[in-house]
Amino acid sequence: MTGRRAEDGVGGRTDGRLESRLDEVRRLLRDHHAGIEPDPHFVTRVMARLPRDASWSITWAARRILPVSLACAMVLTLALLAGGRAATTATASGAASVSASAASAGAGDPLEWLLESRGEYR
Amino acid sequence: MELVLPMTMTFAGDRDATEAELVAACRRGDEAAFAALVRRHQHRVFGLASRFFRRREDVEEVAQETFLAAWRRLDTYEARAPFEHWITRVCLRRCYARLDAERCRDAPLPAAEPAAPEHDPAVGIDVERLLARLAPADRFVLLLLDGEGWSVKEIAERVGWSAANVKVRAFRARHRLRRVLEEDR
Repeated sequence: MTGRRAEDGVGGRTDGRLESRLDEVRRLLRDHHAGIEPDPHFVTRVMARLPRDASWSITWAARRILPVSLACAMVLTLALLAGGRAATTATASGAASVSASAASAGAGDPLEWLLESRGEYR
Repeated sequence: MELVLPMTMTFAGDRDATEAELVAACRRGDEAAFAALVRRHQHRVFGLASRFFRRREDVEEVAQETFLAAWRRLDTYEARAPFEHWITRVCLRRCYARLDAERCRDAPLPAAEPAAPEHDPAVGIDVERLLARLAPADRFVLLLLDGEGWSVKEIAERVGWSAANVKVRAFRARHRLRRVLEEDR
């Protein structure tokens, strides 16, 4: 009985000491490393490490360039269409002028009377 | 050669811009807005990371990784909670991943580091050595519970674990801490 009581006493003392050490650890943990602050250039370093993805840059550039390229394409298409129409008109008017000149040539041939009066001279 | 970018990189209305405006601008790829977010939250992130790492280089690295991860994954931020909660969660995950990686590497305890303010000779407890003898998960939970003073619910919300999971981890961590202290006597 006395031995048991003595053992309890030692155990209790030991547990008490352990508890106080645990409390101390908790107190130390509260102050653990609290105090490392960023330096003024931290933001600079983070920004320098931002991934500037090549595909993202290409997409961004394409988005920027797209309206300009569309406008250029439209202008080129319009120019081509206008050029084509002009060429067609020019061709048509050329043909007309050829036939007209042929007709007029037929009408105003100074030697036509020779053909018409061919029989008369036989 | 050090880059000197964001000294001139300021978001228009940096101080007045709301968090939502800054986040929206970041999503459009506005780096100046992101710099403003980093400036706002850098102290919080450093404070949290320094709970887990002793060396300034480690704290700096974790803080940088936190913001880089935030930039990459900003589309996952749903703005249901303040941005600070989200960045805290990102930071905690980086810290945990790094602690775990250190365990895998079996990094030796930096015993020769100068000025360990946690070591109180009067008490005879070197908390740094004590923590080094715990598993990363135990260290992580103990530092959040006793270091940051968070409740189980707060840890669960901020880390993304279930409350039951945090309770179990906290119980195990305290149990192991007690055992380490007993062995240390």
